[in-house]
Amino acid sequence: MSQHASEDLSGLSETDRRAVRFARRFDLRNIIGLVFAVYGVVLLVLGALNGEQDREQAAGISINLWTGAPMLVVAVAFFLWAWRSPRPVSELVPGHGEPSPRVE
Amino acid sequence: MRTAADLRLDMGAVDYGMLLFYFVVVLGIGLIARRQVRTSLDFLLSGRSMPAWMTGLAFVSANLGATEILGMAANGAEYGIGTMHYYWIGAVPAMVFLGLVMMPFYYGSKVRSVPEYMRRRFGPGAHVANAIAFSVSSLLIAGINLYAMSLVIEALLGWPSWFAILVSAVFVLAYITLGGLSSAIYTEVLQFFVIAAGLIPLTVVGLKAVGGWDGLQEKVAAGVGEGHLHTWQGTGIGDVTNPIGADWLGLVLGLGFVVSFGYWTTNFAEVQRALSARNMSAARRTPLIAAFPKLFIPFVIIIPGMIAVVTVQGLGSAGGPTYNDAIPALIGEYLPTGVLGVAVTGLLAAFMAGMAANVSSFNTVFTYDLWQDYVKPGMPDGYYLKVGRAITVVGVLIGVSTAFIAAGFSNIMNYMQALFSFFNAPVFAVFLLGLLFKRITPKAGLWSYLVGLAVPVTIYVLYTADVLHFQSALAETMWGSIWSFVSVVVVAVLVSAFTRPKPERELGGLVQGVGTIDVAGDHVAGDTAWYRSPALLGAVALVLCVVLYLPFL
Repeated sequence: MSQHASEDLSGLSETDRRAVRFARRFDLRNIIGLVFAVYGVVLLVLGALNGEQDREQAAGISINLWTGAPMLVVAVAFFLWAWRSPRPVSELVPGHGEPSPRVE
Repeated sequence: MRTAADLRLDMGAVDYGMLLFYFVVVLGIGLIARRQVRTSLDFLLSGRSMPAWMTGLAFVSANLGATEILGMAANGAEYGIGTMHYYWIGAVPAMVFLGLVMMPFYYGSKVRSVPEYMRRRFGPGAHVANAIAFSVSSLLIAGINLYAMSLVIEALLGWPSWFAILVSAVFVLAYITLGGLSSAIYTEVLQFFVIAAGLIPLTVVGLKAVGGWDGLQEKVAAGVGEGHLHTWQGTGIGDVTNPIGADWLGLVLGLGFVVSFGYWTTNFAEVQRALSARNMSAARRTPLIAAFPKLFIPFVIIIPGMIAVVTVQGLGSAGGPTYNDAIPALIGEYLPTGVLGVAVTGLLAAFMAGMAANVSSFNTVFTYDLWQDYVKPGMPDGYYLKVGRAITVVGVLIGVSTAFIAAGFSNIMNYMQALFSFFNAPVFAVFLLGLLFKRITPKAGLWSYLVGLAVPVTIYVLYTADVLHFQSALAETMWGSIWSFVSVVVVAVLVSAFTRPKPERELGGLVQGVGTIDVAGDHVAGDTAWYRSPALLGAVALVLCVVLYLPFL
């Protein structure tokens, strides 16, 4: 898939190519993935350290573990999605492959 | 008995760290989005390049601010499961209507804002009136969001409210001025997931603590009454026994038709998210994709409210915490360090996103509809980009000062509903008429709109002066909206009868049945897939509206 993504870029100027690479690296899905990965790891560590306290406060549920693990799964899902289907060039470079938006 | 001071959360260093990390990420989003801003259209409408899943989630998040989360949980505590009406006959059908019926006109005519549609359909008079009214209402509502947020931050974290107002205003200012609407949309999507990661564990733990759904039903029936467990029972006309105090006709017409359709289909802070989509298909799917989370969000807002009413002692009684404290009180009670940090971050993120949505729609209307159309037309685009950035700063400053107006109202939810009845009902009525009937004239558009603005304001003034009487403040706003709608229809028909309509060739793509709108011309690969069909998405959402009611009749 990443090979396909680089093929897209051949017809672009150097500036546009850099803009596309930048936009794909900092795709919103990667940012959401990052936030959820960090939070997920923090929650798992806390859950492992103070399991007893957690259960006492949260009606007997190890809520940090039970929230942290799904958050990590969500993080991985977002990373995979961004990697498998990068945003198309036409969305990232104005005027590429379609008439540029009308400006009155 | 818990008092306000008891709401103070036991935030650990880790929780503050998570909050801080989120703030840093959001500033980073502002910097990233800034790289993509080259024109005023990039800044004010994200260059019309957003995929539907992003605009759809941003559409939900823009409305998921402080007042929505705290207010709907409060309603859940006060009125019970009947609060679901706000979602299942209120928001979702209106969102489906926007996507299926109205969006082709908005997106197809390439207008950049809701007031601009007004200009194309009715000419400059109605346009100026609508642009000014929208600007004023956005800034007043931004102030309400700021104030509501500062109240919660003060209670939860102990920061003085003026400090909380300033910190969040500066923060919103920073990321919107950097990246414009893209910053706002990216942040709204991120916030959607973070608030979900906070509210879902809260609901799960809360339900476990009261003995599951069965336990909650027993406790609610015993504690506050069986009526809180039903949505439609006791809504017969003349036989109203449900906690909300409205019959089914009032719910469907008042809450469903006038209030919700008015808000969701013409409020530019919402519609703007769809206008930033990459093509017609994505724009139409924006509110339809949003409808699905909207169907299920009440489960993690209203149910916690109901849990709070049976677990938080004295909730809603004199001297105890108010209904608005339902979610913060539950968070403090059940969430340990870690999840606590996620939940608090989600709440603060939601509060800021609500404010950012108001500011990012205000700056677009001001720049395009007032400055470019009337004050300084014909300047190069770079000039309007600068105006857009500058007016963002001014908008935030005015928002801070209107926060202090909001502070003067004892019940901010009622203040907000009153504003909605002033501003949304007349626009919706004028739009619906203009969209359906080509015979409605420009003069009719202007005068019916002005009368439609004046009527609910007059009713509100007479109500506060004790001349008119309603069962509750909520009933006042509902009737204010309904009378506004009726007066628009009457005035528009009368004025149209005596004035000349716009020639038909100027109305192509703006009125039902005049000209055609190409809804498939700008399709991109994959847009013809069955799961992207707007009609199918809309139909499934409506069916779910009915099905979800079944367990709670």
